[in-house]
Amino acid sequence: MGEYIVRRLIYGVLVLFIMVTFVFVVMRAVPGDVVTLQLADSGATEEQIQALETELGLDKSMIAQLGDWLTGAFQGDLGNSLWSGLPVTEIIGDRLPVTLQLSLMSIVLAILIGIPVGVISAVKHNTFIDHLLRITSVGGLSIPNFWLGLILLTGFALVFNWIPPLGYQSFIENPVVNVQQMILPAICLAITLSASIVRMTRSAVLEVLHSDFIRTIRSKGAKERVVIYKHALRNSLVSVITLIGLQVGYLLGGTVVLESIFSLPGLGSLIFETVSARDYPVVQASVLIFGAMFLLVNLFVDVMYGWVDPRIRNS
Amino acid sequence: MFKIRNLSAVVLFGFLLFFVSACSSSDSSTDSNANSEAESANGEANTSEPKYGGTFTMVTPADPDTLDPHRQSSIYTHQMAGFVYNKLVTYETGPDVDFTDYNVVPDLAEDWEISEDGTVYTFYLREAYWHDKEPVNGRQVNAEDVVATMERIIELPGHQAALLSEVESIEAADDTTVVFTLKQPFAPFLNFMANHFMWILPKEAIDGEVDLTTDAIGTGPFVLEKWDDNVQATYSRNPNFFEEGKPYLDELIYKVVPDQGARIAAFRTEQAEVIGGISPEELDTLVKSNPDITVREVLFPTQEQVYVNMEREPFNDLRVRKAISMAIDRQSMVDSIYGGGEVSGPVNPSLGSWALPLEEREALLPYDPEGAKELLAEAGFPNGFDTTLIVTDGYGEQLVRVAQWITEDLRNVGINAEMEVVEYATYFSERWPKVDYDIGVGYQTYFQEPDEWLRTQMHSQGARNWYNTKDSDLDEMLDDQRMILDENERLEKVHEIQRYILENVLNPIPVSTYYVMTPHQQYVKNYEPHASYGHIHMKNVWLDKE
Repeated sequence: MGEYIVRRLIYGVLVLFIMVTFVFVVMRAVPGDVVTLQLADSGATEEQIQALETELGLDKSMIAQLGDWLTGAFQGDLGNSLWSGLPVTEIIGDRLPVTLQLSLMSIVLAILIGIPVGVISAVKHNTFIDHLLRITSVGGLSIPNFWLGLILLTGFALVFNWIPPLGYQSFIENPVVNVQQMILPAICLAITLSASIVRMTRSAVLEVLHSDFIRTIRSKGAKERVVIYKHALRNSLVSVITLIGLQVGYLLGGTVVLESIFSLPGLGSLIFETVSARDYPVVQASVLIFGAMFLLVNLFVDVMYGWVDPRIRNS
Repeated sequence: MFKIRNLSAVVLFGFLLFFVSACSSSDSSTDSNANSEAESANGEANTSEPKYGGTFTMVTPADPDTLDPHRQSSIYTHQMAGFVYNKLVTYETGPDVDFTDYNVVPDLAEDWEISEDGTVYTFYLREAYWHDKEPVNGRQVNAEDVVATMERIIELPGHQAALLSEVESIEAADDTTVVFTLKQPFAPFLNFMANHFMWILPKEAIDGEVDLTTDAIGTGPFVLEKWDDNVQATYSRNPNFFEEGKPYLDELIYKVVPDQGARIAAFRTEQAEVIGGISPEELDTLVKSNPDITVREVLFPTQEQVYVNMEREPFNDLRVRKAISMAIDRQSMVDSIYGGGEVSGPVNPSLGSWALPLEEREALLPYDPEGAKELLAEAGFPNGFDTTLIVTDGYGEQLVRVAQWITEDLRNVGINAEMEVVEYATYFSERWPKVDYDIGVGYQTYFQEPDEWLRTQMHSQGARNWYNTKDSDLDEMLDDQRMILDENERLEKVHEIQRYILENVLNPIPVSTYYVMTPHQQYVKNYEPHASYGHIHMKNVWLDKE
């Protein structure tokens, strides 16, 4: 298992390297450059423009810039923002916890809702409850989360004359305010994810319930609760966990919009702002972090397989 | 030499106006209330004694990248700079001053002299103190601070250096006197000194003892306590502010709320005292749930423009440019997209009397599609022509709708323009400044001086002539108006130039200037904004609540 994780990590670093190089080249290939953006309306002279290019290190060849950046990145130095001059690690360090907390809260919420509802739906399949839950989950899948965010925000303002307090505070600073600020966007993100978990759990549990070994267990006289939770659910989890791992990508995408609707200073809104400002180092670093998060979650998912299914662990 | 005793004159004038306005109702042409009840309440409140205390929250779509007002031209940087910093001179604000009145009044300089030939400006500093923060620790402002600031402004690349391009030398004559010597008479100089780039910094900050990117130490009505990048900036009342008794607010909070829906929700629940530019539809629903709010309607500080590349055919033909202008139904467009506005001119009407009077703008920029077709036929395009029109969605969806409207209007006279929506960074760093287009629709920046509206855009050497506009007669007139020191005479000349532009040059083509609706809570008093940057009116604002 240890060797397997190491191998996966090495692959992960390779994937990240290719991804970052790709973003590096693409960001510089799209029209529009940061120096003109900063000086366009100033009537700055050619020397002033060149001076700024030199100051920002943009006068070097692209290969040299990439080399510089990668050398720095391996030593934990992700460069400085081309606009504010602040170290990128510092900017990301401020923003990352917000996105992590939001994603984590949404995943936990989605699991807490999705798995029990999915199991109920499977056990009561083809009953009224099953139909109701299935329709609800299709609804949850179809609602765009930014729309839900805006509706929740405006609805709370109109009906209760209340919205989450403005001005983000971290959980350590003020847990009460923090949870108030986080809960609505987390719900918006969780709804879509939980809807797909419901559907996946339902079909996986149904399939397992029809398999031979469940019949054997039942004929041994096991209680129905034990049959469902200990055997059927556990054997269904592999596909559910795979689904969650893949859905984390969509979840991270969703944070981009929801962070901006709910005024949360996270990584998602940072990417959005910095792409239009052509702040190359910040974009590269944010993409790197998002990529690393996605890879780590999926590595974690693979490790989880072993935990839920001993056959995988041993092979 | 003539000398203006500014301070006493302004104070006296202010008092007179205060009493006049106290007797009459407030300016109803720019001030409209959500309901009549609120209006009468507001009128009464103006006469009562201001109350001290309270927290005022503003919501802004984005934070600046830096607080350094000389390194960044972004509106976000400069709006925040105004809480903390002062200029030598500023614009008058208050209940009796219109949003678009550009009256230069004392700020850090309590008085100034202009030599008869107009080349030497002497500013006398008032007794003012820096905020009580390290390393300045509340010491008195002196001439060295001003000289160091001005040298910094000239040294750094950017638009602000151009504002001081006619300055030959800046010297501190003594501790409280600063002398600017100009290369030649330069009429816009005083107005440029009131420009939002001219915030005065302490010398220690310029010498690198303060991180100007993240901190700000000034002389202004509010002291920056804390800036959480992309969350909020918190300001406290400056007890040593040089305008006795001001400001009234204890605390001012500037919060970043990127989403318009969220900003409206914040205003609705009184988490924000004021909200900037909202659409007529948004206002309608807002007034339904919050009928007590006060709504102020002001001119947008810039305009939509149609501009063409004069180096490409057929746009080098004046008749074609006139046909484009005549094809556009400006009034219907601005009414239906922005909910109200007026026909614009070469100098935006937000600059008050510097702009041509509305009747004249309407006469010189008529809507006449038949006439447009005739002009096109005369120019050799009886069946019109095909072209591409660029626009960016970076300023929001409304400008794209303007471009769609104009594309339709142009089609009606035979010009088939295909619309190309360009991503903002590409638009602002490649297509527009590098004049890589046939025809385009955009906003201009918030210029504060007729010289900027005219010379910067249309002089062949203008820093923002991104249109290939070249007209030697116009160049000469634009250079001349800078030398006219008598304000009335210059005003005449500026009007004459605008008439000349509309009849003979017409690029960029002014479209319209819309009215911005800015609601504020009913308990907010004396909220009288000004068209310039920096929220310079906030020192006067107070809250009428317990």
